[in-house]
Amino acid sequence: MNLKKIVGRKLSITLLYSLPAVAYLILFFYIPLITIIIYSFWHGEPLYRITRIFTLENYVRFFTEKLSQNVFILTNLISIATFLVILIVAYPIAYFLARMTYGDVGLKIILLILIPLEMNYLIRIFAWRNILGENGLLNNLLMTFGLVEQPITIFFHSLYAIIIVVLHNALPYAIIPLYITIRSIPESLYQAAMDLGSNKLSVFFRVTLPLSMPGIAISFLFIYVPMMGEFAIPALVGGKTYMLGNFIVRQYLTIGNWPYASASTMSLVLVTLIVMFIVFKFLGVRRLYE
Amino acid sequence: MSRISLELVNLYKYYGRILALEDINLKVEKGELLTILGPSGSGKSTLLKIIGGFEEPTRGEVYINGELMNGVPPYRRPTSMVFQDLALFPHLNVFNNIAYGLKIRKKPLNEIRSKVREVAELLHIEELLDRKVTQLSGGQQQRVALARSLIIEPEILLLDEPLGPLDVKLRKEMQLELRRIQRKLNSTWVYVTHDHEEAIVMSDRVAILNSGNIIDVGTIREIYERPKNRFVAEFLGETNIIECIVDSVEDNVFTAFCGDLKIEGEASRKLEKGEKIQVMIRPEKIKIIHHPPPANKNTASGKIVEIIYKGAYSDLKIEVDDSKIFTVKTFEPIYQVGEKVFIKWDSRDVTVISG
Repeated sequence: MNLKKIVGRKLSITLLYSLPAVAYLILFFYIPLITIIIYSFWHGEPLYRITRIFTLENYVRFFTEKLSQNVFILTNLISIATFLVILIVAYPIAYFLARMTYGDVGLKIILLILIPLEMNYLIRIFAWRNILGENGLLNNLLMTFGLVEQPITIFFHSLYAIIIVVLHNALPYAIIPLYITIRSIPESLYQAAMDLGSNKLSVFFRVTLPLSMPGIAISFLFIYVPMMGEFAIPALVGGKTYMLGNFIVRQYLTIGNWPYASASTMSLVLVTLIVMFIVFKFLGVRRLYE
Repeated sequence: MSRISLELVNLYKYYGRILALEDINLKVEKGELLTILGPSGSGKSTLLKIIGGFEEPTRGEVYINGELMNGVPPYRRPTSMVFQDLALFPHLNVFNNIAYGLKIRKKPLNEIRSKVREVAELLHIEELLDRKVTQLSGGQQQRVALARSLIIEPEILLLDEPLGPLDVKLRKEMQLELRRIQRKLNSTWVYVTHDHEEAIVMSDRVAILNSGNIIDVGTIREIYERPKNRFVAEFLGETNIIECIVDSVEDNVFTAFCGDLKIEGEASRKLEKGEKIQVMIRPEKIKIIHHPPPANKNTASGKIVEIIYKGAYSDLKIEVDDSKIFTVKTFEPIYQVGEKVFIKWDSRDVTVISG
């Protein structure tokens, strides 16, 4: 009886504390999300004409129409390519910081890497426009030194520009989880591997790399998930590159087919969730908790 | 005919300006289990790491089977190490942990399978091969670590306090089992421990290490009964050390006065009349008698001041006439604090440990 009362009071206090957060989430996350889900099952036509009848046509259209299929595949390819480029750059840095530095030197260097992220996201993208652009720093330098005659356009308004900008933005998100996982591998495991006959290369592929899979998986999620929904970077530096984010923005704001835009959004959310699930399940992220 | 497996010659190791090992000279014969016994911080792990190739000596040479090993990386040395924290690979199951060394050596799969099975049977872990190493108990992990090293048939197996984390009962079982396996394989093992009881149970020979120096090397019996100095004597278990002045030496037998006591013993080295010496008598060599002994040497009378119950036996602290405290081991729990007793010992059991 008494216990019930105490537990009841504890519970009510806990509820009280969580009220602001819950209210915030409901108001600004769940209600919009549910709205999008509801819209995605209605019939819609351009210029905001919506008929409130249940239909699956928007989903069917998203997964069968050539345009959306292409955008979807391209977005995935760009996201994965970006991740791979970032991984190739971030892994050696994380490895060096985790294994070659003593004490908290590695963490201090990571803080230095984080400083540019204090700058506003859009300003950073515009800064890159100035570096990579037709009359930007890069082309000016190349022409001043006479390395090229004409401004090179490959880094301006292209897929490569997207990757460079995202590389800069997302590098710390790859370095930090990698640093932590590599750092957490006990020195004696490397020694044991060498003791059993592994040279340095073999130690890396048989011990370091498999044991840093959780870090790789987490940095994949940190990069792949936001990249799937990215629209500002392709819009500002991507030129003709058209990603799923841009596709959805266009459906919402320019064409005005809200149900189709909503179905595209939900498809994106769904695919992302599935990918996250697979990564968590098979790339050893669970080992972090064991 | 015995062959030297491991030879360390004039080995020094400095960490910066800190001297970790000083002038280590050691030979280990093939098929021998040598224990390196020393308190923590004495340099035992460093010594093992130098043999395994994880550390380079600052000076001196390491020979394995007569081959100079300086500068040879661990993966080209015929040694294998069982680490203090075992260092099992958490991403591999038991089978793959054990098979690691053979896979690196690119052995055919069926050979790997049969060898893993063989080693697993030797260590009684054949049931565990499919398990994750994180699901094993401490003792099982121990066996996997050992199997992983044994399977590559190292010339020398190095063990760095591998039984440290186990509970006492399991430790004792594992000590005997390790000894059994070592005898069966007839391979050379260098075993590091800080536990003198473990060293006594396990080793053919013991090297006592203290602050980077090898103080004494020999069979455990030699060292236990004839320790070179006070540190060794005390490190190998409780003992009585008495300060004496030599009175006479005759035919290898000396008599010495130690306060009111008169002690007779065999002179293990040349002693001079009037020389100050320390003699050692182990607690289990002292007998308690109830009547005054006929002779007046190698005997004393005193009062029991403390009884330390240790299960199978008890340690009695006996204060003799001139306030010296003797520790005496007894298997008869019939004594009481305050009781007056006489003690005696044999002159064979008196050891001179230093001058």
